[in-house]
Amino acid sequence: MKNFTLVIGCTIAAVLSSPCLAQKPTQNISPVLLDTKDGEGTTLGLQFEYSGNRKFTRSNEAPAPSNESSSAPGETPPVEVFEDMDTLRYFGLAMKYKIAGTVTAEEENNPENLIDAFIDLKYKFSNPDALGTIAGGVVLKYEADQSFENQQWIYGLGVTYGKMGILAETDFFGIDARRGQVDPSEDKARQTALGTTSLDAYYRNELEILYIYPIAETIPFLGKMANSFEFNYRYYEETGAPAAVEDARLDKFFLRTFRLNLEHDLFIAYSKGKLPFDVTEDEFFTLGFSYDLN
Amino acid sequence: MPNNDEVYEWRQNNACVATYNVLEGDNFLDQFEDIDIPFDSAPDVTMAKLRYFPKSTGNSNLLEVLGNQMARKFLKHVSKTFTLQKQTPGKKTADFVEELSDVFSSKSGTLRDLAKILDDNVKFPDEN
Repeated sequence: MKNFTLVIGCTIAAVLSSPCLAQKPTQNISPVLLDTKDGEGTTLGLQFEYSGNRKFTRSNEAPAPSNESSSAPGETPPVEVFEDMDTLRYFGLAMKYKIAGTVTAEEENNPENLIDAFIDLKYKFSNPDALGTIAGGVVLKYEADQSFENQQWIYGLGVTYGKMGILAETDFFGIDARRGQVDPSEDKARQTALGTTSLDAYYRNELEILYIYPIAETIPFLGKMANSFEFNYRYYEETGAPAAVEDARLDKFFLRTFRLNLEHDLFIAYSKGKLPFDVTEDEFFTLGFSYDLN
Repeated sequence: MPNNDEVYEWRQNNACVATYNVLEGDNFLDQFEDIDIPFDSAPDVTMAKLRYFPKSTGNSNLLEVLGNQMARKFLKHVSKTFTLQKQTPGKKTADFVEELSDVFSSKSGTLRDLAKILDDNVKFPDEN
């Protein structure tokens, strides 16, 4: 654990001491209409996000001309052009932070009752089109439900891969996998299942898959009504879970969503499953619109 | 995304027109229709409104690799029309791509942000 901490410390120092790009923080609040089968009808929710990052890169491109080789006074300086995207590949190191979630007036009506915040450090390897982009690193994450009655910390490693242009110019397949140690400081359901208020840390695997297909790009006559189709699958699994946790069905969580994004920011979505801190599995339709307050 | 608080002027220059055409054009990235978003109304359209941006997840890891892939596609299409001559000698292509990736990864990134980054990094013919 000491070695692990040392690596993180060195990486943070490297990021902060290098010339880097800093992203202006993203701030978003979007109203959304949620309808849960097991809830009490439709409820209005708010999705929120605050995030930003710092990063630096190292690429395979040719170095800039040195001072000695630059043009003499009066001569036209050599023209420098950016590397071709078909050949450019580079490594990047980034430090990111984010807090995001969905809240509703009545917590029991919130089918996406999970607020999370994280800081992570990762390497990214960006390749020409055929190979896609891969990123991996360490993450420190905090999760809670909207009442903060259930909260936990997660420390772990993760890797993400994404590629655009598989079946269409801008369709996208991405997969995000991580393994981390979960420290449940407050988890009512787990405390009840184990019959104790003192909870031990445990290991959890997480997987998320995303596929987006641009309907409007490939089927123009449908594009008058529908923009894109999305499939999203999230899976959480505790490894070596105690029998009591398994019996209470708190060792595995999944949520799959099919979503059709329509014209005028409308959408229809169908989801089935549950996320961490949800005790019962939900099957719900979401009808809504997206509005950016920025 | 651009840190400069000064608002970049959206106008009929190479950077803005290239940004608009590459994102709108059926033969390029086809992210919206010109009848829905004409050029003059485009600068403050956010990435969240474009077709490539996921609405079912806010997973920042996935958004990051998606944004990177989109940035590479975007620059590849811009380079079909314009030579990507560096505005600042010595500037790394990777840093240019990362600046664009940040916008494409962000719900609140705008076409104006993309045009500003293009203009800041590429020396277009209308700047000579």
